[in-house]
Amino acid sequence: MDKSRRNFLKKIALSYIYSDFVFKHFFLDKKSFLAFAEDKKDLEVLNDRPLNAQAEPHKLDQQVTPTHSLFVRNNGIVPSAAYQSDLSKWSLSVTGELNQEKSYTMKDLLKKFKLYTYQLVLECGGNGRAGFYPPTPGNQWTYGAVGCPEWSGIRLKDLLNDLGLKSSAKYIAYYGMDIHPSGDMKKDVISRGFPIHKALEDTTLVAFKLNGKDLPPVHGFPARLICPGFPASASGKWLKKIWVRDRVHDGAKMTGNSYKIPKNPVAPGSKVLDKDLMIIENMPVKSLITFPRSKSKVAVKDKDKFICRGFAWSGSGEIAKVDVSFDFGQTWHTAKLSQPANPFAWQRWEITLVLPQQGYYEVWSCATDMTGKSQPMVTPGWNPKGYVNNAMPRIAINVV
Amino acid sequence: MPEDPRKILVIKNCIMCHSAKLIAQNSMSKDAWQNIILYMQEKHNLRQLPPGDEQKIVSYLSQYFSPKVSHGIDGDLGPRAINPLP
Repeated sequence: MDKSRRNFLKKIALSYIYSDFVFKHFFLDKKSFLAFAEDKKDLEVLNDRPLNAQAEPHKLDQQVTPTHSLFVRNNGIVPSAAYQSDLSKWSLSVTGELNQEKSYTMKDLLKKFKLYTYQLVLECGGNGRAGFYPPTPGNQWTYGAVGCPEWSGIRLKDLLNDLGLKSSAKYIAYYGMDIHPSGDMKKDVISRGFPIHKALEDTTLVAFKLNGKDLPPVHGFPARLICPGFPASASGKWLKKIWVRDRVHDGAKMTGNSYKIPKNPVAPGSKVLDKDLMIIENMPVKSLITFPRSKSKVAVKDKDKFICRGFAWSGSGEIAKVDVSFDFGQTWHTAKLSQPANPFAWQRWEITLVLPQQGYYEVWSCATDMTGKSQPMVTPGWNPKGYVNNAMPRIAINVV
Repeated sequence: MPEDPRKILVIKNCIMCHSAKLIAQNSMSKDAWQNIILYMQEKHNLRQLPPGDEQKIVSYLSQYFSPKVSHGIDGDLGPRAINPLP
């Protein structure tokens, strides 16, 4: 074969591989985007490939977050299996520091284990990243990478106890079916996990349902972990494998500076070596103002009965109180606070304020937990990737 | 993303895997953009770039997506003012 013909064939082959790759992956992702655009009209899209979208605070005003208002944070491409309702090919393998290793079909899981439903907060570790200065890289989440929907699934501890945990079991690692953005099928997109004590909590689930329905493709169909109180990246989607390890997991986005913060506080903008970082576990005390919408107008005649409400939560336990200020923190008013539906559910707070006169106000809310920890007004603890900003939220109000 | 002769290099090397929206959300110094390229090469299969191309990409990104006075978390409510350190 002459050289020019060989080159021509090579070109054809390359363009075939290239277009097939682009077509396959872009198409799959396009599909997730279109399906999403249909269900998630309420969300603000930060990145359309991979899909990352958040809710505006006033869209999170319902006690149980509706699926269409729940943020999406995808690191890779939604796997095609997430669109197939046929589960005959899907199984969950559970391996590692166990007396017995096993692969379960969906039928096995549903038959063998009891189903639980809890209302659980899921919050992205980078929620609030936009508040850091100097700016930190990644999706610039403001307030809306959080939600508290109902998750149904089996307890991870029931599954682990079925197989028998060895005393060497220290850490849970997950693997999902999502595809690396580069299209490299050998590369894990994200493979994180959590310590065994977290796996044994009642509310740590292998979940199959979100708000009573099968998980939508962008939220991890057919199964995902729910590890409430930890950064949402611990709650792996499109689950295919759980590996019980005898050490801290070192999968994709467990190492380097992903989902880590400095062991010792650093000045904003500092360079921090990987060895001086630690893995984020419990998310901090936080609140959100969900009503009214920021920049609302209030009629002067209603200024004595100005209703304001939102939610408060923490990764370390219950919230003890929520205080609200409309004068930049000079005076504080304690809101009515409800009990959580279950551990790791957010708590509703509500208050009726008397605004003194016509004009511009900012409303701030500040949650305090049972140990006395509360929210700072300014952005706390600058860190290289902009995680765990729990500064108080604020909204603007005009009394006219 | 702003039109510029260097833009094509960003499209060819960065936009294959993720959309331009991810870039446009960020604002970083030259050094920080350089580190992002390194991170993408180490962790996410970005190829080794010809030095000239790499320099052009970094200069494009740092020209148009550099830290400015931050609008911050509250959008056009403006930044959170804090007292300067004494």
